[in-house]
Amino acid sequence: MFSENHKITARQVQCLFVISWIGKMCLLLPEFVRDTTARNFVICLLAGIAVTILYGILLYGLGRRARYHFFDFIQETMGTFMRRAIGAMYFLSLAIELIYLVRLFTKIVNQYLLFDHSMEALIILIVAAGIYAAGTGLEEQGRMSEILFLLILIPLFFMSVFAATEMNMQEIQTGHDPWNFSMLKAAFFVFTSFGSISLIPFLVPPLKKKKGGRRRMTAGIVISGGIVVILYMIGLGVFGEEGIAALPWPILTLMTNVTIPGGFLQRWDVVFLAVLLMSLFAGTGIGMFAMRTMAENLMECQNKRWVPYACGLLVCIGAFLCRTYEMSVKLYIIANGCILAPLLAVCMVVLAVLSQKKKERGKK
Amino acid sequence: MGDISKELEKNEKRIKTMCTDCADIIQKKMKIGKRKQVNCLLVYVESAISNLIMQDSALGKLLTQLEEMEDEKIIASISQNALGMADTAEFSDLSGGMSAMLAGNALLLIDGYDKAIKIGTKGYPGLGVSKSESEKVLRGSNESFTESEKINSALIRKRIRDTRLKVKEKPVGQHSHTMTALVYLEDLAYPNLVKKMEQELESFEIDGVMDSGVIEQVTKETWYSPFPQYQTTERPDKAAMAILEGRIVLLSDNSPQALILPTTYHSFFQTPDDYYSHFLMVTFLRLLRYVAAFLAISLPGLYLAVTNFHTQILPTNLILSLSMAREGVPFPGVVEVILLEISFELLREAGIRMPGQIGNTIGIVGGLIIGQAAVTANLVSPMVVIIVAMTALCSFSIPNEELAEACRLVKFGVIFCCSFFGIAGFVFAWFLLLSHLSRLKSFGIPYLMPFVSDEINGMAGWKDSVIKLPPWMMKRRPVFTRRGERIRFRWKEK
Repeated sequence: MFSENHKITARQVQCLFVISWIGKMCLLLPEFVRDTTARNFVICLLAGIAVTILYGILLYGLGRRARYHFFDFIQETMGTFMRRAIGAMYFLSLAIELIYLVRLFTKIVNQYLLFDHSMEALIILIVAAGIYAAGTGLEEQGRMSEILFLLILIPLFFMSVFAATEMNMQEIQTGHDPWNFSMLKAAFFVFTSFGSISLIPFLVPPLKKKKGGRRRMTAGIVISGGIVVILYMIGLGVFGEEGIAALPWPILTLMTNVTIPGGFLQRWDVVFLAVLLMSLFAGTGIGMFAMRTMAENLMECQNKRWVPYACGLLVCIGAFLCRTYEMSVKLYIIANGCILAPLLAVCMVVLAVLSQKKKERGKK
Repeated sequence: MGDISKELEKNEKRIKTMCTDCADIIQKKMKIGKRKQVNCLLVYVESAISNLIMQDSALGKLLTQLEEMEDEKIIASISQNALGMADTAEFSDLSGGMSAMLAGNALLLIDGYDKAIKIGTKGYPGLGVSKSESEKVLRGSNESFTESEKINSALIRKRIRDTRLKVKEKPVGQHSHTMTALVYLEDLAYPNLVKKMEQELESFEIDGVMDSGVIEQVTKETWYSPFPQYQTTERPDKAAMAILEGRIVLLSDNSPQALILPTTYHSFFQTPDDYYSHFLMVTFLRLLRYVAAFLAISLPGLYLAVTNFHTQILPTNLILSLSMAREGVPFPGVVEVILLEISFELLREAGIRMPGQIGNTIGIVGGLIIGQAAVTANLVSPMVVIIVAMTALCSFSIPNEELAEACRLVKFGVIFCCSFFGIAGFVFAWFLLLSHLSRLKSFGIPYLMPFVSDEINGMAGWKDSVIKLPPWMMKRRPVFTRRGERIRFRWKEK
């Protein structure tokens, strides 16, 4: 008699972030390393993770100040206009991320699983899954993430172990290049690929116990980033620096190369790819749910059944208009990475300053 | 020093308080003695002492003797056991007397006498109680529920001899007036849950309730879900175990199936003998059941995905033998699979409806002959026969029939998705399925517990999940039990 409370546990928050990041990060990050050497990228990745943790802590603090809903807190501190403006930024950012995810899914499925299958059908498939998942509440999202967490992480762990046996340690032991601008850019993109961290203030008010929330959030960032670092290092050890730079998705190629001794199957890439696809489905579901929440906030309505469908339609149209995967990457990097993510970060910092001032004024 | 008063009224009050909401415990007030001036109270479990037995038993004879005795001599002769009854015992404390009564005896209290007399009877019902057919176990009781709510509640009372076990009766059905009973432990079940279920039973009007299945359909929270949201059982020991976990059992007249609520997906993989056998064996069997459930849903879909879209993952020899087996089959793989799956469902349905042994024969003969004939006629490949047979075997390994049925239904959805999108369709189908299961609740309890939200119960749920630990390590009750009452096992201090 407790699950009607619209609450979420700290563990579920951790799972929610990990499963929504893991697939996207494994596939998106290589896009950002084109201009930097692989070993430097690992350093950038660690730097990006550190910045994300700091930003996450700031957002978590903001979330704790919000008593009921984060949007109400924004309104109290910055006014109605900013509430709507920030809401619109969130909505747009989520829509662009979803368009990218949908295109990424179709590209991977077309290239590795269903050769020359209808793109349109695949777009509709993933959007339909997202719409179905978005039709629930936060509690259900939390449960779903908790159940998928181990289903995704255990196979990835086994894949890493078996892939690691084929590593050439010399490939990762060589020196590294000096610092340059491209490293800074890569670190920034690592930070932006953790885009959904900006949703953390919305998850703090419904947390059952707020005490462990920050630790779990940090653990989520570390786990996701850690997995990407490990997989990337394995990729580096297997393919070498030149090889990894030439491959469009080194982790997928790594999956096709994994051999399990004594295994019944000849190749395991389909199995591991299925795990990654599950993460993309989960990411789409969570993204669509967040998009629905933002849309409802913008329209000041609640639990309207048509909203997830409208969001799905918008994402579908966006994905169709993008035409190619490359176009969606450009859109994601420019609109989300260069404009919306920094803008949102600035807004959050301003919000933190204003709320702190308000708090001090209140004390006086 | 005993706590039974000489005043019958005081004792009666105490018994009434102890037996609040125990519809199966009867308190019969009588007047005995020649002049009918001595009050006495007879307390007993209704189904343990039937009217017929009353006439012939020691109890009946004792009452007859007391009827004919002078009022003044009753207490004196009883205290000296002048009636010479063999199977009687006296209790000076009421709790001891009540325990003896709950063991299936009658308890007699007489005004002016400060002791309770236990009178031996034939005890709990054995008559009309048959062996469980649909939930067989290798170890443990073989008793099964009957079609009488009264006998069924007595079968539970036989296993939980405690006045805190409540039996709340309620008639349902405008014309049938079917008696239903909510059976629960007062100190373990959430009071809100009991209240909610009572409200549910009052929330509808219906002509008649012929089986507990009707109540299940009407009160189901997510009506469109094929997954069962009540656990059904025909085993009193299973029902009693559920009650000891703080759950509620709903009994209905004319139905040998009890409904257990709330329930979780995992409960359908538990069998009573899981708790009677060695934990390592149980863990292995549970793992096997989960794998069976996964295969019952996925195997035909996976076969289609691999053979139609991802042949590269199979060893070359296997691909060759698969293609050779399919030689001459005019249908695409998906038609083959659906054709055979539907044939199997038809055989199953025919087998159930056919009387007795003919049903079994239809299943075996039909399966063998039709399968063989279909392969010989090149309608299906032998591999598909193996896949469908394996899927059927897996679905039969699921201990709960309702869940097995849901799995069989979902399987067709997976086949459909896989035939269009291969492994991507498989992932899509499982994503939808998990998403659906994660939104299901049974009376507020998440359906996927203890795999989700187990933090609420101090992460104790995993000890009795796919893995099962020995009883002494499962110290906490599951989440169904009310807070503060979750400890079910502790060692006694030496």
